[in-house]
Amino acid sequence: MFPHWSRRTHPETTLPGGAEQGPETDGPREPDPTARRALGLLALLELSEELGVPRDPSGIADAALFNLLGQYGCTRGALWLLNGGEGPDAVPLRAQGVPAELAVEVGERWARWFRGQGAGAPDPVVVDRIARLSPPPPGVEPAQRAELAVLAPMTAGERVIGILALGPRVGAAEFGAVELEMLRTSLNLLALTMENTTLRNRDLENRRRLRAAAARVRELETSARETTGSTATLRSPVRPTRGELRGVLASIHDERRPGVIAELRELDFSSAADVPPAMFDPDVTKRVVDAMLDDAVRRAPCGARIRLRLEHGADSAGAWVAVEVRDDGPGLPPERLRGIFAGGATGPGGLSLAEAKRLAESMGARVSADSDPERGTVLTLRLPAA
Amino acid sequence: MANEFSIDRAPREGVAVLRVSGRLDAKNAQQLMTACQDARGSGGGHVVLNLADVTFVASSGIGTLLALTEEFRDAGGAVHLVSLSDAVTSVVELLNLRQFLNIGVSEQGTLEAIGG
Repeated sequence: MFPHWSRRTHPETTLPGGAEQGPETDGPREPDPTARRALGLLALLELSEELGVPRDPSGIADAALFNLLGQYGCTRGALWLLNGGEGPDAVPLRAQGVPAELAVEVGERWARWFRGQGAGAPDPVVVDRIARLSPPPPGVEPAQRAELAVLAPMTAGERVIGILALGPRVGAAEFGAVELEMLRTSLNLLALTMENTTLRNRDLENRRRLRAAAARVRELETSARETTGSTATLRSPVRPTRGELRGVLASIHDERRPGVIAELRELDFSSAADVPPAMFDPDVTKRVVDAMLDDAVRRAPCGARIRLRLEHGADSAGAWVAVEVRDDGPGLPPERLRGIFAGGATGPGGLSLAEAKRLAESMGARVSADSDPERGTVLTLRLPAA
Repeated sequence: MANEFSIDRAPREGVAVLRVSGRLDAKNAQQLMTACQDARGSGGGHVVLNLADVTFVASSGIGTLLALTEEFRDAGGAVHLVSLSDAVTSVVELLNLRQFLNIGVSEQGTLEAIGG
């Protein structure tokens, strides 16, 4: 099934004349089972230690995947988290040696299959063995194309929360009962870490939302005491002052990242070099950027990357500084892009994009949107440079 | 030998030689992947990793070496491991990986063999 695995030294990479290849061995030999088991236990301890270091889900996936590749002697593998909400079922967190599109296909097929296995935690599946079923599960074919040998569910209680796949073992060794049992133990550890990380991120996000809601209530109370007229949003005092935006954005990124991760999206922050100071109101800017991020999280599918970026430039109206919120989702059709500021959908911060746009304009800034089916959507807050 | 992980690129033209030292584990697996991928272009798809000063290799470190070997092989090149420390040698032997990994005795000999 995987012919190239049986020959472990490829002709094209063999050194000419066999020179300098190190001491020769007498060909493949069976590893000492006791030593292998001891090494497996050691790898499990290492995994436990490595997962004890706080990381985001991608970092956890990296640590676990490379540990398991080393533990079982595999050169390829992938790890998916299963999405309980809208969007694709399986979000690939890390795929090593498996093309991205194929990883998506494999994840989707096996997510459905593992979830359809009824009550209890499903067992790991050895692809070669399950391929003999008639008919084989629909995930077998893409798994064989991806040269994956075993797929194992990550479960929390009886809920399947992720899937790990590993390629064939170097030396054509099989995944026997002992290896599968140890794999199950490793995945229980991994599932626990993922669950804890998700819960911690959700907790941080809930606290942030509570703080935002409390601030909104205070603002509405103040507005109610004042005279009637325009909306509460527009009546907030706006005082643009000269300042650096980088620190404000870094703080927004740090505050929002756990919530974005809990929604299975990534959020990163970067800045162009030598960005000049801008004229802005920090509180208003934060609320506008929060609304832009809320919109990106709502629109972009699970697994999407959202980029918060600080840019600067100049045009006929003068120098400007811009905050971009860019996602790599599927983009918006022109009719939806035209109406992006007309809708009243509000995020957890309580501000719709339409309100955010008006609020930005009240401090002399403007908000615009652009979208491309190839590159996703970008929302831009442009402020005058100071 | 220090336990602190580092990767130093030898100052030479052609095939890149990366000298790795310290503990090779999950904390630096990605760093090693990235360093090798970045160095691939200068040597026709070949990179030499000198592991003489690696004091400990965890499962994640072995996983990284395996993944790199396959990734480079698929792209028509190779990662060559040379001057393995005792810590690396014992794990490679125990896992029976010697025939899969491209292992050489010295930097110079390997560079001459691959014409780098």
